[in-house]
Amino acid sequence: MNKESYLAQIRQLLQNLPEEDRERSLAFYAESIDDRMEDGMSEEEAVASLESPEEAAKSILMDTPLPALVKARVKQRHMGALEILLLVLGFPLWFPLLLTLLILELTVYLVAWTLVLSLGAVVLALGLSAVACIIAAVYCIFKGGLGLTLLGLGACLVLTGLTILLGFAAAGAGRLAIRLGKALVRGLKSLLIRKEDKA
Amino acid sequence: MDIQLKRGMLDACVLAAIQDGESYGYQMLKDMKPYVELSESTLYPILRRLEAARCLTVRTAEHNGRLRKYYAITPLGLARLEDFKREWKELLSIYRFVTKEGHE
Repeated sequence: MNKESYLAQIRQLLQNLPEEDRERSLAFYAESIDDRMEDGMSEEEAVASLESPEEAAKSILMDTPLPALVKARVKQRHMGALEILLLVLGFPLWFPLLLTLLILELTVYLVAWTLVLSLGAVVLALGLSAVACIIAAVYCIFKGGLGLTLLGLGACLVLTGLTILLGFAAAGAGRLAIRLGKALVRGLKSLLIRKEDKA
Repeated sequence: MDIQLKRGMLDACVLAAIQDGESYGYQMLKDMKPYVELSESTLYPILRRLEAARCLTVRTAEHNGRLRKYYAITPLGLARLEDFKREWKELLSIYRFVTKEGHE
């Protein structure tokens, strides 16, 4: 395969991406082929040493943001009358299923963040209580006597310790939630791309 | 291998390939080849990701009558590389403990 037909095949596979994205990706592969030829390979060898156009296109698509991917996917379908009829008739079936899947993903993500938020709220409450205790202890130095002052100081120390400990837990949970979100988006993307291969 | 872990390692490889001066795609792949063999399809998304994260900058220059893109590391990219080295130092010491001889 020569350079022209290699690039043409990728262009064909990416035809629904915005032109700017597509041409920038193609320029990268064109530059690679040119550099290999400058390094002493023939045009055929240079192309053969790259991945197949399908693989190249797939990795470019995996790198495309989800909204652009969905748009590209919708544009790609050229449907016959029968397909449209089936799609319309099947609407009560596929729409709830699709909606369920999306809502399920969203729910999992939201639940994760709810946990993070409630942990954060607990941390905030503990921190505020610690501050309140130290204020109370200072007040007791003048008004309440030694016993109450020590009690306030002790409570403040315990609360501060708990705040720091749970603070770490909350930060860790936040990082996990972010990773979960990324994994969910990746899952959706590969769902879209795999279907594209079959089409 | 854990996908997140591998990503971080490849990002560091690419940054390391330009830490001593700017370079272009094919040259970077050749420099990395003795250590890790990457393909264009792996390199391209990494470069875009690192550019978006401002770890490197891209400039287009003419070379032999065609255009070629050159990638240069930024202070942010250098800092990222230092983080990577520090983290791996820790991991390596854990690894040495796990694999050391004479465990009961």
